Amino acid sequence: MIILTFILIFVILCLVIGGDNTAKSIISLSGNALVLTAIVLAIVIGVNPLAVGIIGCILMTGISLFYQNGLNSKTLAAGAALLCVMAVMAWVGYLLIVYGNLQGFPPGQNEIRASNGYEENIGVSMVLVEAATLMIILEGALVDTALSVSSAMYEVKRHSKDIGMREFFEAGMSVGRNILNSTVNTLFFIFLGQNIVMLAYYESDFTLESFINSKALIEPLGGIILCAIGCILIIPVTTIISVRIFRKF
Amino acid sequence: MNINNTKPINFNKEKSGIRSFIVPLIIVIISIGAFFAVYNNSEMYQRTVVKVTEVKEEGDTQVLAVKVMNGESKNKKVIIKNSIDSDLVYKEKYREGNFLFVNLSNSKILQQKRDYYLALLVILLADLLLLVGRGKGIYTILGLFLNCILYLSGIHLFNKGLSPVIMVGALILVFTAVILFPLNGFSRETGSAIISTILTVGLIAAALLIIVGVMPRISYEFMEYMPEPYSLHKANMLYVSQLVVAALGGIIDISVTVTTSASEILARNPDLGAKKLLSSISAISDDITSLMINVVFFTNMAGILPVFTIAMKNDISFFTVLKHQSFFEVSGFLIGAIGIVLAIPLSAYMATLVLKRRRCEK
Repeated sequence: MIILTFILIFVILCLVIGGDNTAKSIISLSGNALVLTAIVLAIVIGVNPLAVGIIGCILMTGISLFYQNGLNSKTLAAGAALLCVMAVMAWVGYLLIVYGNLQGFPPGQNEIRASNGYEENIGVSMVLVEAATLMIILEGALVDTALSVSSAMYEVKRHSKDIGMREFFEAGMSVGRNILNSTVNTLFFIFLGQNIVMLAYYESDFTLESFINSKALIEPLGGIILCAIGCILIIPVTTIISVRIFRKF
Repeated sequence: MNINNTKPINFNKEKSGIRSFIVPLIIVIISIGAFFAVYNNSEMYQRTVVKVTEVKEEGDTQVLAVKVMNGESKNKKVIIKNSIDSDLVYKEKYREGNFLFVNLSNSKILQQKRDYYLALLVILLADLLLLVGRGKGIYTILGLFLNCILYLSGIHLFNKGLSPVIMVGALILVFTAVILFPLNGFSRETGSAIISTILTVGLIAAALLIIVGVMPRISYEFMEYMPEPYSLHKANMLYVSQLVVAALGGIIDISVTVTTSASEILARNPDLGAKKLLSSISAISDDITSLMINVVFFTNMAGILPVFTIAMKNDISFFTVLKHQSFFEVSGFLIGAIGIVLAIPLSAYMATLVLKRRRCEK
């Protein structure tokens, strides 16, 4: 099967090319995949999707951040920043989902329709499922940016022990600015790639006017933009937290 | 991410009190103006727009008191009904303040007007890029804008018959150049990063085309928005394009990081062999690799949550969903991750070719 081929190629490449941390990331990925499976099963059984999402994110942060990179001041600073920004972005995202009706499956999709056997009385609030989905999307990108900034600031502090608070802060922001471009572009390309079929063929279901107002466009695009906004916000937040935590060294 | 970028850090001298407020203030004012322009753009639509002024719920029906915002019946007050349920799988629940497109003649709701939500997000993103990113933020915005136009043109040409492979191939070339040249300058390092990106993408695309050609036919029913009928060839090409474009971002990132690190290492050890360079690079890029693989994992896999929910609640087994409905998301993640790992040795090798030769010429 194709997926198995991909997995095989990936694992081989990891072991051959990557170092210890890359090999460790195979374990982390497996762990995260298990957590994701648990999230799905829990929601299907009937546990509140929002609660499942929050607990799932905590577990996944534990794996991606603390298992993968150790429990140290860098990861603690990143974790604290993650908590702050995730709370804000998840809240904003939730409001967006509720007021914008971004939950559920839009018309225009070919497969997920009541007529295909996907009945709608399932006893699970899709609004909450969508909120959980958003939290999971935010998780990966935010951890990446936060840890990059806190690691870099740690290195700066290590080499200039007597650096002043103002300079230290500016150093963190400067590092953040350097990675801003690649982070936002990476997210943007993921959106473009994932949705290439929808963007190429939207005319078969929408006019331009209805497309830019559609759930079909705004749900994925909104999600990626929220991700990007979160990544930008987490830069100053991580910088400030790092300045405070690393000051003691 | 470029955490190993050891360029000297430029500590901005403090601007005088008033000057440091003017630019952000202008940005905020323009943003608020732009948002309200979109919020109040009902007149620009042909379809009738109404604003919900009051919501009453009677069982599973919403009784909406709305006011017409455009067209002949402007300012008229109407009552419209909307059926809802508690799960909202296909239905939508409206609130006071929502805008809707309606057909007044049969009181049917056509669609919710959401354009101002999108405008809000785009404006917020642009503002943050400018306020936090400053100069680099401007480059990012311009790059995004340009890439958007290129992408849309590419799709337009695709719909006129251009092969997806050529479209995607050309797009990738231009995207990469647009992103890398303005930011990192017209240097050998940038050129090296671009070539290694294209190499990585090419390798993956080639491998994908072979795999897709050789393996049993993929069932494309779950490729959302794919209009029927479609030719298998077109679907296959779109599948490969989907994977390659999504992986591009991570590949560019890693290429730039590795090339920058390689450049610094070679600057201090000009005679370093390719193999030793690769092992140094591996050590440095290890952290970045695992972080990027995480990004690719979460952004791709999160989307399967709603599908799993509705499928399993409709008695489809977990493994069936995994195999069929989530095929594209899992592919996207794996190819993205493969791209990231593959980009490391390719960029390192390209760096030795391009950057070492330059030192020999000196």
